[in-house]
Amino acid sequence: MKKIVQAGLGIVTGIGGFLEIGSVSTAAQAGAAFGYQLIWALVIGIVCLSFLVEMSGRFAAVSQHTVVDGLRDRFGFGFFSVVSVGVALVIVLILMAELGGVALSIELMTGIGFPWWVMPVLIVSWLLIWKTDFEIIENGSSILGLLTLCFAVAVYRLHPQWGPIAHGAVPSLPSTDKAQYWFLCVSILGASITPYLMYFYSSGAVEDKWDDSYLGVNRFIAFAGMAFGGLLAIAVLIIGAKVLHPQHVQIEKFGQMANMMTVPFPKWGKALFAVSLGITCLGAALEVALSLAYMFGQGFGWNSSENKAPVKAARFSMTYTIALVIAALPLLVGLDPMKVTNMAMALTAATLPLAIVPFLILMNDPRYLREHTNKVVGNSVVVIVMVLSFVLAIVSIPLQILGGN
Amino acid sequence: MAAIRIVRDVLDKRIVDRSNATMGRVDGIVLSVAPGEQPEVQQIAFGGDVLAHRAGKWVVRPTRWIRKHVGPRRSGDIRIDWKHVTQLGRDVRVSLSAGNTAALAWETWMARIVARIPGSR
Repeated sequence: MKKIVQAGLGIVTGIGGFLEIGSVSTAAQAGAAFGYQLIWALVIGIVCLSFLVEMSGRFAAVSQHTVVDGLRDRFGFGFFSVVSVGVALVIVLILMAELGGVALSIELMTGIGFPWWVMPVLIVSWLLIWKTDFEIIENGSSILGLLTLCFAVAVYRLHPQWGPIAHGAVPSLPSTDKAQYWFLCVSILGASITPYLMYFYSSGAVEDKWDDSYLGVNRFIAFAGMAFGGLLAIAVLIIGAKVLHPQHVQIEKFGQMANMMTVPFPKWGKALFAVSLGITCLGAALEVALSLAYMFGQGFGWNSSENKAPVKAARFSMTYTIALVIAALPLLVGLDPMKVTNMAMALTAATLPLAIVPFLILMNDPRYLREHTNKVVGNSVVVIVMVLSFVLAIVSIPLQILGGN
Repeated sequence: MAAIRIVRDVLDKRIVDRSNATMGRVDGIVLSVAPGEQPEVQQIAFGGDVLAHRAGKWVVRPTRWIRKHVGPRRSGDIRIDWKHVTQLGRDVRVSLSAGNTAALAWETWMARIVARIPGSR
């Protein structure tokens, strides 16, 4: 029974895991700028993430290690510190984007500038992690995240033609704005395939004491859950394509994204968008901050558990506290969260090999996984998507910074 | 006992005390080398200093500076005699109790700060 509940919750967790400021804003931008043409990037992002999440759950269930535990004891401290510094920098940027997303959502609803909301958002996020335990954070943000089903309803109300949407799922080359196309493609991949999710998911599996008997549940959660979350991200892209693309609107401000929801929901589209995004960003911010604390805690061998009172895991709780403060500071002085988001997502894509190559080596090591090591399909999918993301990131990030075509 | 590969089976593993509490990770291994004899494992070592040496020379000095100015008085390297190691596997198990060593010095120091924050218990 417990497993059925977990599988159900896992599906819902897919929303929390997938939909957050990165995937929503990159999907909306892609839809507005290129219509349905970039759906394929989302599709391969979703497939790759599903494989990675399945792997990190399997790793935890079989080896009773979290992914970070494995990285440290398989590759040693030197390599671990390089990976953790790189990943930590990206995680802090993502955290900044998520906190900014919550603040922007409140700005949308109140009309008062987002920097004013950063402090309250910071305090609420911190209190939620400080006072609650793992299950409440994971399940609470997932269940509240169900509100994002409004994106699916919006698509239904917009009556899109399914032919062109299916066509968009096939990769194609852009005819104009090549630099922007590839940059958006990289941002979508970066927003989908976030390494923090692997760390978070495997830490959750260890906190929940998974063993071999959870392998089926794990597979189900990874594939069905991520597909569920991913389809909602595709829904956001479709809304952007259907509403903003014909008007040639380039999304530069958060408010423009909210406006696209006023077509399917004239009265409360904006509020609906703001609340759904605010909740998913808050959930993601908590998960991201915790992932960072897990990463350092497990890497250095501290008491690391979200289920213990902060005083019982002092270094762990201090780590997420400091991370939250560091991420909030630039926002307090008005740094644009949309810009941070795009850069964070592209940098995630650029640093993927750093996080994923050692992870794949672990996943093929029978010392940890016994007979449950990776199969050819999983390895190939992840390697191909990782290489693609990396190459595109290396090419398109400089182009985007230079603003050229 | 099967042959132990000291780097693969011991180094970087988590150290767990007799009541299952995490003490840290094996950051270093201390060998004794007497002339004309086989080197022998004496201790496992962990703590900021050991890690700093592993990370590189440029990390050593800032780490020392930090340790001099912040943190618990009883910090630095912690060494556990090899005879206390009871089991090697997923973790390195030792027969000691973390509280009786300096392993949790930083944790306790930080806990004192955390304890002053409301809602930390």
